Amino acid sequence: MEFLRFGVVVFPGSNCDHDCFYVLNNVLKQDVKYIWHKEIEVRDVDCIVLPGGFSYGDYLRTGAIARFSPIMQGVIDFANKGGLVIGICNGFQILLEAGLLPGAMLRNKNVHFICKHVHIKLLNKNTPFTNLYKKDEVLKIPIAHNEGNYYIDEKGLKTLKENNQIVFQYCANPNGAADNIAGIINKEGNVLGMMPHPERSSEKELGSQDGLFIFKSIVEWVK
Amino acid sequence: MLKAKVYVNLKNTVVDPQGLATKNALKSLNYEREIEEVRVGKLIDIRLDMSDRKKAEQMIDEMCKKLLSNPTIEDYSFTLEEVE
Repeated sequence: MEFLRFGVVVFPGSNCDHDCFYVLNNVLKQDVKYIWHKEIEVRDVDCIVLPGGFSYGDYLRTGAIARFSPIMQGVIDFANKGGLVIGICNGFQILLEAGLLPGAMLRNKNVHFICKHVHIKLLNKNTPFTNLYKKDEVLKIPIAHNEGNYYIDEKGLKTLKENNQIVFQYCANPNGAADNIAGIINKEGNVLGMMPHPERSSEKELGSQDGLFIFKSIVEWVK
Repeated sequence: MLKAKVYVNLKNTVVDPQGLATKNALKSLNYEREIEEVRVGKLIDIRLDMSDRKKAEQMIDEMCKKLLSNPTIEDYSFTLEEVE
């Protein structure tokens, strides 16, 4: 396969869709297309990206309305067939609301929107999204969110740990997230949700390239 | 016509950052001694073009489970009243 085909879903209010498209297309030289939220089926893609932003103005709960967009049934079917799905920030929140990942998001503990570079530690490198990193690697990568305070009950947290589903942990907890969780993967290993923005740390000019290897790992995995 | 008032609140076992911040602000307004706890929730009004109460209850309950609340972190309750 020469190029990987990425599909970036665009919801009303998505605002990191162009950044993701740019990194995948211009930096990584892969095949990318936008998928409008009103489409009902996912076709001809190897990996779906649910980008960051404020889909539907974060009305009701973050991701709650986007989860019922026509495209989401297609995304769920795609994921259930083993297709690779990565949700970044608001995309992660949508995956939680859709039930593709366990848990939920609460307001940040300090009740502020937090926008800054943070350090996160890699806990699981045996995934389609992290295979090019070194074991236990620490990445410098920005976060920008109001609801990143990840919640899961004790039983759920135990299950996440038992199955190695916690992929990223904050080195210093910025938002109150349970067990410092910054990113998790589903049990099957094909759906990743993460609050930090790899597309904002994929070029030297932006102060860090640590995020680029998420997308590179996906390309490597599928090839 | 029926009108439903749906209340959505974070579960008691879930920390409510908004409630805590509001509580601290109220305390700074000199309600220091009286306030024990503040929880911030949502109120959603829904007008229904139907008169069958039982059916309406069932329908609102479904809406709460599917969309209006997130059962992982929230509880809901609702009341139904006749309106013109």
